Amino acid sequence: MLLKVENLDKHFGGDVPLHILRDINLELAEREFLAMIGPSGAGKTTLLNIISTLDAPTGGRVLIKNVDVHRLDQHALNRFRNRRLGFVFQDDLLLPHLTALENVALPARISRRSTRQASRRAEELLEQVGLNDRMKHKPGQLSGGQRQRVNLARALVNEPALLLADEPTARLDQATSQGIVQLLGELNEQLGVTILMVTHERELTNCAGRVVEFLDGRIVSDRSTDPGRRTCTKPLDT
Amino acid sequence: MRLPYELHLAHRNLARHPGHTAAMIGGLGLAVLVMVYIPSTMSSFYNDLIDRSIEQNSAHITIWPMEKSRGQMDHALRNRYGHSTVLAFTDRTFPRHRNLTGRHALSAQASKTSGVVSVASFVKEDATISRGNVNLGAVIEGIEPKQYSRVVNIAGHFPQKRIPKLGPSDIAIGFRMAEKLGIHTGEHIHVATPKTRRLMRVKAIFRSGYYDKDMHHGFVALRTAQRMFGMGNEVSALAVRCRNLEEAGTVSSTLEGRMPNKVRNWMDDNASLLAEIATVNRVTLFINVLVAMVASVGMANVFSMFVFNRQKELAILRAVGASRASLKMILLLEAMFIWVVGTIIGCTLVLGVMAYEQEHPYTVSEETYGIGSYATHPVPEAFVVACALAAVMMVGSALWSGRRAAKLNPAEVIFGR
Repeated sequence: MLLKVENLDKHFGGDVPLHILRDINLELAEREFLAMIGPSGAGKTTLLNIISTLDAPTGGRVLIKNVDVHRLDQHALNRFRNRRLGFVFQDDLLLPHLTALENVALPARISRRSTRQASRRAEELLEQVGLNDRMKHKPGQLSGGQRQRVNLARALVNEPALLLADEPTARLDQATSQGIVQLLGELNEQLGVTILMVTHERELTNCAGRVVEFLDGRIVSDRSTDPGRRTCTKPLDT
Repeated sequence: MRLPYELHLAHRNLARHPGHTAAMIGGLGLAVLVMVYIPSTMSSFYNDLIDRSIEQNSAHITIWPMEKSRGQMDHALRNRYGHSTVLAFTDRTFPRHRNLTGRHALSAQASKTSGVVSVASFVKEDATISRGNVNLGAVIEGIEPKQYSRVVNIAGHFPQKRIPKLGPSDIAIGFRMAEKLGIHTGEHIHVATPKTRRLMRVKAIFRSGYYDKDMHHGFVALRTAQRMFGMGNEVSALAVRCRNLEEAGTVSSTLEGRMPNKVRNWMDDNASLLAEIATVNRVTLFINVLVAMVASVGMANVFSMFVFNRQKELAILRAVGASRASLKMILLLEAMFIWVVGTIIGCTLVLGVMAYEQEHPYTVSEETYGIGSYATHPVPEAFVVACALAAVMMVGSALWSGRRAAKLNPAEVIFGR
């Protein structure tokens, strides 16, 4: 099992204690595409942040490839985050002064790969997400959909074990959103990338092989999609 | 080439905010300019003062006869004039009692001392110089020009930068005295000593740049002075030149241990000037530290703002695996870049100011300071200290801001929680 979430709790103290997540148990196999849906405040983004090690749980644990990620020391955690996890955020969190190519290559450079190796890998990925003519553009010169594609390419540059996507289409129009989700589906189907995606739009789950529904910090349903109904069919240019 | 990505990002960050970067470089450059200029200008001023008053006007070390105690004086006077003599005389009324005896032996002994470059004997006594109705108190210095100029660099005071040959009736006087007496080269003045009064020809008029010397000093030949003051073959003292000014203290201690004479070095003779310099140096250091502190606070604030404005970018870097040390390194590299360019600009500016001053030196009151003008010279130590302070300032600011950056919680910044 690639990801194992065990009895996860998250609450904030204060005058009025706030329970965000209650006793969450979740497993994700390699090459799976899981979509977590639910209304705002259901706790799905918090769970994603805890899995991504950007936030810490109040109780329970998260195992990725049998590593209890919240027990790692700071150095190991940085390394783990850099090499094992890929992030796509709802905002296109790109560094504005770097080109698309440099943004994509950044995690590879952080993992101390040479500039040449990192750039070559970044070029491949940008081609795969259909941005081979935008490599030298800075984020300000790209559309929202293109920026999100750059984000996606950056998330994949170190060939992570798990790709975490937090509402990757939140700021995009419907057509572009579909394009991004379709791209995620293609990455999953054709390259075998394991994906955990958060969305609150049910219609964007059509590429996912499994959909987990959240409500008030709990999982209320966990169902697999009929493979025949998945619509991510556009071949990925590899 | 495997350049660290921190270097790449630091470069891009600075290039992205050219105005901000230029302001920081300019601020640091100015701080360096001030930190180099203030000590350099003070140092130049006092070095000129010391050069003018020591190197060109007095010896590094002077060997005087040992002053007699009151008891020794009484004894000597009783022996000379009998017991009935009223012992109301003081040392100063009897020049011959203060003459240096055995000068050749002393001179030979001094010459052999390590650190001594040359030795010259001289006579120095008070006299009155008059012309018409104008009378002036003066110090008459009897010298052997060739020998004396090897000890004190007075040749530069004279026209053609050469001490004129002084005959038995020749005297060289300062330009202020000449003006006061209304006299020119070749004309005559009266010189009165307790022993004689003689008419002397003004052979040359010198300009020492030292007010007292130009107003109240006259050079005559050594032999002439000995005759004028009835000293026979004796002299007032020996002037000694050391390899360098700094050695004078050590050499004078050595000489003092070897001979029964009073040995004074230029530091003893200029104790008040040196104390003043020490005070000014302390004040200068204080000003520099103050400048460095103010600049540090400014830089730390600017860096802090720099970090604050880039919180999201730093959080993204953390999210994609950059370590806290890497964030600190990026800021440190930015600081080092600003330091290198800022100090180069600051040093270049200050050298430019100094070059301008060489062409347009400051004018100061010659009557007060003994020097009419001075220009700031580069003082290497000031550059080293300023550059080091600037480095400390920048590294400190970067580390302080880096600590704050490292504490950022990426989730809080990215998701606004």
